[in-house]
Amino acid sequence: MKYLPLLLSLLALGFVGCSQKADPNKITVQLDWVPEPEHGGLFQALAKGWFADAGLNVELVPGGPNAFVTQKVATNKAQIGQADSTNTLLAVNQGLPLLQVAAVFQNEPSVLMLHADNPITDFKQLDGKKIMARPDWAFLPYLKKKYGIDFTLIPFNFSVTNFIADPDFIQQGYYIAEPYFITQGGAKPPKFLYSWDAGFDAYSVLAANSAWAKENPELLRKFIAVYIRGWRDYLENDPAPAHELMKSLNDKNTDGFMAFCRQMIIDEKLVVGRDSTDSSQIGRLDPARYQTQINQLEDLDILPKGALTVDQVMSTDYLPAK
Amino acid sequence: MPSPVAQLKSVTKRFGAAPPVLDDLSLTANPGDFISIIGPSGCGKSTLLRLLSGLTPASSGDINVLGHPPGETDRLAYVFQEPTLLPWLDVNGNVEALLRLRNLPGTEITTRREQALQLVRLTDRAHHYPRQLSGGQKMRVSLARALTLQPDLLLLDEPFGALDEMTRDHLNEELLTIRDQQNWTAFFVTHSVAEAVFLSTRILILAPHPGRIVAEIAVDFSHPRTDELRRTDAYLRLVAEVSRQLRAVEPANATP
Amino acid sequence: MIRRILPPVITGVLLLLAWLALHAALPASQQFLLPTPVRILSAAAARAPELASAAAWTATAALGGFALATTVAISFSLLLASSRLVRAALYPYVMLLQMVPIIIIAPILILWVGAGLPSVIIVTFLISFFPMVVNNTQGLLSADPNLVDLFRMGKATPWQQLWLLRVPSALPYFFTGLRIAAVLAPIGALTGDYLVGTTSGGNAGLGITAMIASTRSEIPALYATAFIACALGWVFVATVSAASWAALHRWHDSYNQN
Repeated sequence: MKYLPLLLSLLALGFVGCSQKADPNKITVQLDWVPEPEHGGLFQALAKGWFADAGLNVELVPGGPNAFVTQKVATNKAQIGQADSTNTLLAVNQGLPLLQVAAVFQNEPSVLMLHADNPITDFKQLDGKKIMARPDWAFLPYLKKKYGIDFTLIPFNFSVTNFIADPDFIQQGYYIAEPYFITQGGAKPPKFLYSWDAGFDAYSVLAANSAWAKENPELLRKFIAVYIRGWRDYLENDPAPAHELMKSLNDKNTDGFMAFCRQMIIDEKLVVGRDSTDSSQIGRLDPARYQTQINQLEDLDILPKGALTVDQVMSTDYLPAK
Repeated sequence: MPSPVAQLKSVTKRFGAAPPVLDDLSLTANPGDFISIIGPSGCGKSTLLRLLSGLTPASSGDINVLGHPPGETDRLAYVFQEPTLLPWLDVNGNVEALLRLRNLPGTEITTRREQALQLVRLTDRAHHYPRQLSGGQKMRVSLARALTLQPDLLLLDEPFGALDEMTRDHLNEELLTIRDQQNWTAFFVTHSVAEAVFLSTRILILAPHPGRIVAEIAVDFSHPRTDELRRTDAYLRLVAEVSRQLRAVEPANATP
Repeated sequence: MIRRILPPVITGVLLLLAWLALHAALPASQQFLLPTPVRILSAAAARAPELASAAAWTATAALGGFALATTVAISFSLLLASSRLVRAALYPYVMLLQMVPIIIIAPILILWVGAGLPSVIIVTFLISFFPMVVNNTQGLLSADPNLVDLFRMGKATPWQQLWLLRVPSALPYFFTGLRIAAVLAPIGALTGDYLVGTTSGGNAGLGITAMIASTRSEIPALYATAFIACALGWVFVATVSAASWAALHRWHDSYNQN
């Protein structure tokens, strides 16, 4: 009994202790998925040695269906993670110390995917349909509310099997990658309904542990500068360094698949921004868009009114000066 | 001469290719006989009962039980070595279990059950479950269950073997008291010479390899027999004599 | 009475204190990992209607799958126990079927049955069925051979032997299987919900609710769903234990007389 306080403090120390690290320049980046071209900028920079050149010791940790990116960054097991802006923002409201510091994709590329000959052409027609998607995707209640429709949700199982088998199937898709597997599976290329066309416009972002970011602003700025350079090089020059590295970490990365994804990222201007004419927007975050998102989530009762301000969830301080 | 209760003519029983367990055995049981079967392990005592009951068929020879081939009479009851009670039924349920299998009318079942319970003096335990009973009580339930069948032939396979001596003596006396009220014929397998002498009208000594009858000893003490009998010289002499004959058939190098 | 109530109460209080101490020992930025009971309760209260309907939905699925598994397991074990031939022909496949991971069956279920309550019930069924079939069959085959002799002596019909001997003999085994299934059924319903469930008109189960809470980092709500799932499992197990007691305590050795 008298050991109880001792035991508890040991336990608490363990919690904190395991997140301490020796090398002050070490940055662990938790990816949201297995290495794929959506991480092209990070891998290009790593493969070319630019992080090391900047004095950074960067490790990229592959993710998957259970990556728990926000939790890992919040507990400082990773200092930076790739995630979608909506769930990261909601996590901040739950007390997780996260700060969104740079964009990956200017538009979070989760879309609704339909078979090419599905007669549905707009969101209103989704009324009464079945949709397979991540149940936590705030876009779904947004759709219901905005268009006054209802549909049945099937939890996303990270596979296109059911989509290929069922011509009426509608599912959430990461539209830079899934079309490849669907056409490989013998179906016609699918068509998409884009969330931003409905006015729901989230980012794919890099989020940092906010305490770590405040303590290491220069380190983070260096990291983001190299990261942006990595994207630019990956998209404009030879992607082979990143592709070779990703192939070695994920043997499902065929040359055909990676070339397809990269071309989608370029064609859809996901990294550079749909309204951009050059590469100056890479990584940029717009506080106004965050304000819109916060308002939308408040309207949906997913976020309590006035619980969050833009400054709490994102910062442009670590991006390079324009 | 009344017709025999059970008759075996040249009965042989073998299992597979092994030497016979019982070889060319002939035997007649008359009404009122209480026949104890005694002998070393492996002499086929229990097999003899199973043949009479029809649980096991004979390999050759003729068996007649109450005028029928074995297994085709319902005037026969069997008391097993173990109490063999259904643990999920209380004493009432166990005593009437065999009657229920015969689908007798309910009033008939109740009457026979109550009679049997009175005979074994367990009326006050009617609603107890087997695990609440002592070893002797369980055995009495088993006996009562057999008696509900109102048998003409009762086969008892070492029923009191697991009980302490006092309990066994009391149950022996009770068994004889019941026998004096009813008129069944009994085959009684036992390892206890004293028990055999006390209960029987005839004692058969069986020898093993192959199982056969080597001696028959008549026991002529008058009925009703009481505990007094156990202290008479005639009784003790007969126990000694049976023990001597039994020892003669035991394998020379057998260890107890 | 006090002697029986006090120890678990004291354990409960100590656990609660340890919880609070651990929470306090964590740095402020990490306290989200272990929300206080008060925060969990208030999160549960804030979404009480949602959680209640999720719990009801999952309970329905668990009960449906459990009832289906019990019924099919009883019929199937009667079939298996009926003859050595049937057993030899079917048992290996029963064992094999048991090995199929639910995560692989899920997409097939969505293809054939469609996502929704029927599929979740099938998943629950698959998870809780096998321990019951194995136990029931074993129980039906394990009647005391002396009692089997007694019934043969009594010229019992096969039907009488089944109902008056084999089925009562199998009861303790049946309840063992039932208790395992009672633990597995709510887990099955939760997993099934996660894998092949749906939401329509807010009809999500606890699995989907937990999934949403997890991805949105709503940790107190996640703990709340965990406690509700525990409570659901407890109700299942307690009900089966009560039924088992009612059926067995008078005669079976697992319930001590005193």
